[in-house]
Amino acid sequence: MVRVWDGLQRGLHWLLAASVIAAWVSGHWAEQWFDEIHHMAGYLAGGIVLLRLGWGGIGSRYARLSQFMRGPHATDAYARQVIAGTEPRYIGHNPLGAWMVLALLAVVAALSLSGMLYIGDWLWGYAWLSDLHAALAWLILLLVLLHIAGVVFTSRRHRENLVTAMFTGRKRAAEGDDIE
Amino acid sequence: MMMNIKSITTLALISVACGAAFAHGNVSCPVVPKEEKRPQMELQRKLEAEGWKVRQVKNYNNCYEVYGFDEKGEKAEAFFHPKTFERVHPEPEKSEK
Repeated sequence: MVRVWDGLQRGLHWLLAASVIAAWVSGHWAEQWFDEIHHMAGYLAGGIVLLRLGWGGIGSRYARLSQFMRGPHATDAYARQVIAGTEPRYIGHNPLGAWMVLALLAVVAALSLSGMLYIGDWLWGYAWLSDLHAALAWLILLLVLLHIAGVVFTSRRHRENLVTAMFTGRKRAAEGDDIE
Repeated sequence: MMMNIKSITTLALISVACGAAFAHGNVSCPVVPKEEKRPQMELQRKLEAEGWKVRQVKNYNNCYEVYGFDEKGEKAEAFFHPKTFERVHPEPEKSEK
């Protein structure tokens, strides 16, 4: 086993997951604690995205965006390999996973920002902004479900539990055609 | 891992079933026949004449719900009877905004 995901990266991942769940649930229920939970979850999620992007520049090897982000051609090639069942195992994020990371961070950032703007004076009360915020909330649900599906799929395909890896930070060492 | 997926999906489904977000307590107005309701635009004009800035008017539990700034310039999410335009206040025990 080798160390892949560093502690901050793992902490931010689960904290972000928790705050997105808290925001989703409080946004659709609980008017009683709406300000406390939904607003706090929104600020927290926005802060985590900023920290993660910063860490993506200076963090440990597999936390860096430059380590895992691939262009459209490489991503397309990887997707074709996935369909053909011949894709290599990546020690870090695979190209599709990398784009999912970016998409999740971007949509959470947009949610956090639109929520903050909605409760500020400048754009308070405009229907279009709350509609946008709600649409983004559905989008993040869709992305999260896809993210989980991708994690399950890749875990099965390469016979390693990626959920556990996101807790322990450790993965099976590279062998054969694996990409480090 | 399967537990994870199941619990997240369940949470998501329960949330969906519970409807949209609202940041106020329970509030509702009596049912008024359609032809007796006064138009939302009339309420908006009335409030604006009183010094409000209105940004959105919509229906909520038979009330007209207004988002904007009240005559004191404070952020407001307020409810009005669709016929009398009387202000209706949410139940106080819940957080009001």
